[in-house]
Order: sequence, then structure tokens, then C-alpha cells
Amino acid sequence: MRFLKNRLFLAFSLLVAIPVAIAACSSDPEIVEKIVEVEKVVEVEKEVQVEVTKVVEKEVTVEKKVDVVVTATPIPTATPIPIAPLEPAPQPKNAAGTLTAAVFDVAPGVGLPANQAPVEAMQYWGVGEGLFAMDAGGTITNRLASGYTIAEDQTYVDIDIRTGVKFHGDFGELSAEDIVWTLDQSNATTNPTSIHGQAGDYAALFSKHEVIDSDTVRLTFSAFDPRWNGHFLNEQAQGTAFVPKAACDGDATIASLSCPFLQENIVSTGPYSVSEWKQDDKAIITKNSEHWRKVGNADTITFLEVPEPATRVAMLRTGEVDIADSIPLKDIKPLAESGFKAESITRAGRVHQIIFSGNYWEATHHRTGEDLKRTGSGYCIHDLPWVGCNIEGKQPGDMEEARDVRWALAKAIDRELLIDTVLDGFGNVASLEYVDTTAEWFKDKWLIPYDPAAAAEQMAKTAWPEGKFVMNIWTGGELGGSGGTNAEINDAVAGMWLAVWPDMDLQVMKSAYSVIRPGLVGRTNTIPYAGDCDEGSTTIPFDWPHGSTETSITRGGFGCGIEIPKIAETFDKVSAESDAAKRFEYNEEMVDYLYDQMIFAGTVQVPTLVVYNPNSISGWLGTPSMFATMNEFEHIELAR
Amino acid sequence: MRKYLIQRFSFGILSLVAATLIVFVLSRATGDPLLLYAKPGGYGMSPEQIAALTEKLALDKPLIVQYLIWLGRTVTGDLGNTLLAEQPVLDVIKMKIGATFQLGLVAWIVATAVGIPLGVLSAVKRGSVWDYIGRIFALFGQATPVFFIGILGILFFAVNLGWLDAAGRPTQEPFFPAQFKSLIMPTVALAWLPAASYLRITRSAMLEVLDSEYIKLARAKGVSQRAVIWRHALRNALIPPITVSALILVGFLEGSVVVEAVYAWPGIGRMAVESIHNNDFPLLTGIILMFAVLYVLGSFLADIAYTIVDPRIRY
Repeated sequence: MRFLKNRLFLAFSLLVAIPVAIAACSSDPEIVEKIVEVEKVVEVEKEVQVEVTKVVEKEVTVEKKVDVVVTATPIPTATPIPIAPLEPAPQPKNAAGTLTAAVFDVAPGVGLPANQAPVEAMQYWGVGEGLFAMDAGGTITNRLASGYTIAEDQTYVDIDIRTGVKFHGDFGELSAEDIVWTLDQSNATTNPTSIHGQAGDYAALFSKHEVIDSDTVRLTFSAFDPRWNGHFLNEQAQGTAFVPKAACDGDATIASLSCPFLQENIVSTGPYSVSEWKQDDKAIITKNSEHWRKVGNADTITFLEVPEPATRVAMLRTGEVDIADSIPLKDIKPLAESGFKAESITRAGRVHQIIFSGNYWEATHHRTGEDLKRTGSGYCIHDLPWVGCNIEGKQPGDMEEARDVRWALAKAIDRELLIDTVLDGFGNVASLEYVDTTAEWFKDKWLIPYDPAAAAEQMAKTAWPEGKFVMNIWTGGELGGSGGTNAEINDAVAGMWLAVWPDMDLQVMKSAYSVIRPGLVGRTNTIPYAGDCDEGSTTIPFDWPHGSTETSITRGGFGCGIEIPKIAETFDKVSAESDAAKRFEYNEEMVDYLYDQMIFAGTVQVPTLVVYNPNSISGWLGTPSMFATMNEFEHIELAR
Repeated sequence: MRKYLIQRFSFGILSLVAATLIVFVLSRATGDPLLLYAKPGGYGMSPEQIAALTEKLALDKPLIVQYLIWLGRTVTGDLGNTLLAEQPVLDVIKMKIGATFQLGLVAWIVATAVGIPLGVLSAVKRGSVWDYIGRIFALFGQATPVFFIGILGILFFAVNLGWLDAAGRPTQEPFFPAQFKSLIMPTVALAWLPAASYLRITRSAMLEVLDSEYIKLARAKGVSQRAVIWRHALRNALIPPITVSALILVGFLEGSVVVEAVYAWPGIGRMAVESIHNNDFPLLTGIILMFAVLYVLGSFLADIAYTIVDPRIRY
């Protein structure tokens, strides 16, 4: 009995303690105005003249004039608990002249180009260099190339290789042979088993790489692409760094691909060389004092893999790290207020959008003409409100109705509210993929209005007047980092849609990317895919060909869940056009079309910010990059 | 005993084959492993590249043939290469295993050293303040998510007090004090829950044993309280904690994804999760093989430990 009493007492104590704790720690309670009626009785005596002959007891009705006084009595609110400001940025724990950065991932440290699936870390962190780069203004500049000449018929390009560029270690100077060897290793045309990150891109772009002389290479185009030097051979995009053939001489031919030294060592030409590289742990790079271009100020830079954003923030605050990337936006302001610097080093912002997957409108492969079998058992049988079917004879009127559904959903998103709440004031409204709403050339006609009433009206014209249909939005998994801001934005968008259409059966799917990926690659996905897709970076020039992953061109590879003929046609037109103004015009026409069809509804442009300790770094000039959050480490100015 | 050992060995081999076969098959059910190379952006993979990689990785062969090829190589010590970077799977696992084993062993020792004695104390002093302390310790350990303990620990001990570093494993520093300090918070985060489990299981077993007739007899004979508890009661109550201990140790040696992520501990748990995301089936199967070996060994050691603790148990 006593035992039971003790148990009950413990349980009761917890039942009391927990809500009290929750109440004490909860945010400001809602202020509720309570109207209290106070009855005030006013007795009015009325004199009545009566001849009294005898006293008669008689009931007299006395009029009561009652004034009802209404007072709003506010319920006392809890005094907001003052949040102590963060400690000012601490003195760094590292030795002077060294820097430590907390990053989300340290990729495998493989130096052999054929096996460099995750290659970008090497070049963004200053270890490797591309043939071309970007300057601070975003203009394409020469890097390891000193110049180039494109053939008049655009069948090849001759690139002059810069002289006097030394490899790390004792591997001599960079020559045309190294360039060709690296590209031969990487390109899937010359090396079909290459798993280099750009193997397929190089295969589509270059059919051959040749040494013309010791300082000149010729790259023969499979098909000309105006992005060849701004994207595929550019250090700040998806280019490759170059490695010394001498490191594998005697070991590796393209056929054998066996080069144990480069498999385990990264050797290149950058301002920093690798001292230690442990995948998923740390990478330590040391400045190259004989670099041809720029000797860095920091003697060593250590990159620590710290997957958890809260831990990265903590390490900044303790001074264990000087730099941290991918900090949640809600943590940026408190850090900035306590003295840390938050900057967009690479000026890259990500365009978040809802892609209305399932709109596969191409009937035949854009390149091969192969029938994509969309009739019969193809995708048109999906009765999904946002999916239009353009196959003749199938569900006439479907395209217009689906367009109305997409537009209604797009108009119901309050983008300014997303910026104020989810992005904590950072970022800008987004329009469509490919367009940066902050760019000079942006046109207001591409802005998507927020008008829930008009949205409801537009949905009311469709077969789902109250929005009563099943709607899923895929976002990333929340544990492990791929969700992040995307997940919050998507939750908010879902809430906005439910506010207009409460009967919508809506779910935000938070699963790992690997769950949805097969459907994206296989072109079977019909779940709206929310986030940024192929080209959701604001640093991508508008006059470039856009959207290959939104067409059948990249079938067999990644897709965004849509295949739009207009995008495929425009991609080819722009790729073949040498006049930048005309390329601009073609893309503008395409964006007008996509806006009209509302294939992807932009929500917000999310900045990529890096936070650093001003007691370690006094200045950092980065260059625009398509994918990197930070670059140009050689240009970091040290504070001590 | 010989028969028992042969039986256990055979069972162990069967378990290894079954575990790796299931994972091998399931990894294919999630999709084509070549999707790892289908990067967002650009032109994607060329048809020649897809064909060449399919042949290289034997993906064109029937699934069972692929598995037998893998099994044949594994028996010779070759676990193949990772899909992500063509690195030998064995080398990649070796890179991570030291960190995981270090943290796992320390956490197991701490959990055992804290949980079992507290469980004994709680049982012996049933109803007292020590019992309540023990049970509250267990309650919080079992109720509080590891992630929460981890982040709170960093905030309090690293950021506010500055006593410890927030995260990381400083392998370049000597063990004392740097590496030792870096172990404290991850160990507490990892060990609290199992210590709570130990406490409750030990307490429950001890309470049962302390009510036994032979314990009453020992007390009646004048045996000291210490001897009653540690020599007579605990030995008989150790069977359940030993079972749990083996599972806990194996679990720790397989890594903790959450603790490794929060404390930036470069262990194998996180690598296992990434290999699932990447569908890097050679790495995934290699890791599962390692986990299965650990489990088989762990349960075998537990069985041997039973015979030491309880002489009545013989195989």
C-alpha cells in the first residue's frame, strides 16, 4: 500500500511539475481581452400623490434604471523573460596564422580524377584550380588557361595553358599533357568507367582532348555549349581541378586506371596543398608559398566535419572554430549582434520553389526521337489536379484546368511572410527558377502575386472547387541536414494552402533524398518536389541555356519531375546562339511561357551565408560561385 | 561444450550470411546503385558510362550471382570498393572504427560501472532516498532523448562554462587531457540511457533475489551484509544485466548516429547512414557484415559469461 502511495505521489508530483515547467518556459501567453459586465443599479424614486384614507400595503413597482458598464479588463500577462545577449565573439583558440572552419561535410580525399565523384571540395577550398574562374564581379576570367580560340564553326576550342604553374610537391610544372590526361581520366567518352562528378557532362560536351604543343590543348566539342568555360571548366562551377600525369607514370593508363598514389593523395596547383585529409573527419591544408597567383595569408586551414548546425554555432561561440557555414538563418542575427560577421562570400542564393512534378509533356526524346511511351500506360492517366495531359484525345481541357490549379496554389503563398518568419528577414521573394528577383534585368511581370481570394476563385473554376484533393510536397529529411530551411518553408506553405482550402488532404513528406531520387531519375515522380532544383542558384547567368534536367535531354540522369518541350527547344536555341542579347531574348520568352503555365512556383530566395569570427578574420573577398558557400581562402585577411 | 561451440559457430556463420544477403537484396530494392552518379545539374550520365559501370559492378548479372561474387571475394578478405570514391571498403571501415570503438568501450564501461552499482544500491536501500535518486536518474535517462542531452551538454559545459570543447576528436593531441576531455560529453550522452536500463534491470533482479530463502538463511547465519549482497545476491542477479550488457556493448561498437552527429565524432555510425543514402551497397554490406560479426561475438561472450557467473549453467 505504502509502495502504491509513493508511486502515486511521484506520478502526481511529475504531473504538476511538468506543466508548471512548461508554463514557466513557454513563450508569451496570448493576451485575451475579457469583457466584464458590471451591473449598476440606479434607484429612481418617483413621488406619487395619493389621498390616504387608510394605509394600505400595496406592492409598488420601482423602475430600475440599470447602467451596464463595460470594462475591458486585460488579463495580466507574464513579463517576457529577458534573453541574455550572446557573449561577444571570443578570442580564437587556434594559434595565430591558422584558421579552422566547421563545415557540413568533408568529402573523400581522392586525387585520381577518374574516381573523383565529389570533386568540388578540392577546388573550392583552394587546393585545385580550373582552367577558368570568376572574378569578383562575376565575369569569366582565365585561370590555368591564359587564353583560348574557338573555331569559327564551333567544333573545337584551342586553349593556351599558363606557363610557370607548379604542382604541389615535386611533380614539376603544369603542361598541356597534364590537362589532356586529367580530362581523359574524367570524361566518360574517353573513360567510360569514370565516376568523376562531370564525367557525363564532359561526355556531352567534349568528344576528344588533344595536345597540340606543350602549352596548347585542343578540345573538340561533341556539341557546342556556351557554358563550356563558365560552367564546365570553371573553378567556381562544375569544373575540374588538374593533377600531374607524372604522379601516375608507369602506373596508370586510361585502360588500367590503377594509380594508388593519386587514389590516396590529392596533388594539384592551388594556393593551398593538402597536409592531411580524412574523409568525414577533417582536412588540413597548408599554404603554398611559391604559388604563381596568390600566396594565402593563413598558414594552415583546418576543415572539420560538423554535421549538426547547433554544434557549429556552439564551436563559433567557444572560439574553437573561426568560420562556420550552413548556419540556420534564425541563428544569424544573434551571432551578428554579438559581433560575428555573416556574409554571403560567394553571393549565391538558392531559389526555393514548388515544382509541380508529374507534368511530363514530351512525347518523344528530344535528342534521339525515341517514343517515351506516354500514351497508353503513360503518365497521362494520373488524375492529379496539378498535372496536365497534353496527349490528344485524353481528358480534353485537362491542361487548362491543371494550369488553374497550379496558379491557385501559387497565388496562395505569402512570400513576404515567409521571409519575415522563416528566413528571419533574410532573403527575397522568388519568382521562377532561373530568375533572380534582385537582378537588374528582372522584370516585375514575373512576380507572383499573393492573393488568397483570387486563388480560391481560380480553384473554384476547377473540378476541385474547394481544393479537396490529396496533395503531397516532398522536402528533405530533417535529421542529417538535408531538410533545414526547406522543411520550414514547406511547412509554412502547407499551412497557407490549408488556410485557403481546409479540406485539402495535404502532407509534407520529410524523407531522405534517396527515397525520392529513383523517381526523379526514372521520370516517374509525380510528387511535387519542393526546394531548389538543377539551376536554383542566383549566380547562374540568365543568358545561359537553362533547364536540361527539366526535359528528356537528361533521361538516364537526374530530372526535376517535369519534361517541358518549350524548355528543351529553348535550351538548344540558346546553346547554339553566340549573340548574348539573342540568348537573353530566347530565355525571356521561355520564362514568359513558364510563368504563364506556372510549372514551378517560386517562394523565396534563400541566401547562403557564412559566419566568421572578426577576431580571426578582418576581411574576405570571395567570388560568385554557383554551388560553393565559401571560396577564395587565399584572399582571407587575418585579424591576428 | 565442444558440441555447443560447433553449434554456435555454425549459427554464427548462418547469421552472417543471412544478414548480408538481406541487406544486399534490400539495397537493390531501393533502386539502381548507379543513381549515386546521376548528379543534379548538367547532362547526367552518358549511355556508354551507364553500360560500362553496369558491367564493371556486375549489375547486369542476377542478384544471387552478384551476391555470390561478393561472398567469394569477402572470404578472401576483399570487401570490394566503395561506389562513392572507389576506395577499398576495408580501408574505409578501418578509418572509422577506431573512433567508434574508443567511444563505445568507454561509454560501455561507464554505463556498467554506474548502472549496476546504482541498481544494487537502489534495491538494497529500497524506499530510501538512495532508491529515489536512483529511480529519478533512471527516469531521466530513459525519458530524455540523446540528442537533447547532447545539445544541452554542449551549451552548458562548452559555451557557458567553457570547461570542455564543444565537439570533435583531437587525435593530434595527447590522450590526457585533450582527448580525455573530448570523450566526457559524448560518453555521458551515450551512456546515460543504458545505465538507466542497467539500473532498473539490476534493481529488479536484486529485489527478487533478496527475498529468496537462502538469503534469509545467510542473514540468519550471521553472514555480513556486504557478503550477502556482493557474494550471494548479486551473483545470482547478474544474468539479466549480462544479457543486456552484451547487447549494449555491441550497440555501442556499431556506433551512434546521433552522438556522432552532435559531437562531430568521426565514427562508423554516421558512415553507415550515409552509405544507405548513397545506396553504396559494397560499403553498406561491408558495414553490416562487421555489425553481424560483432553481434555474434557479443552474444557468444555473453553465453560464456553466464557459465562463469552461474556454475549451474553448462552447455
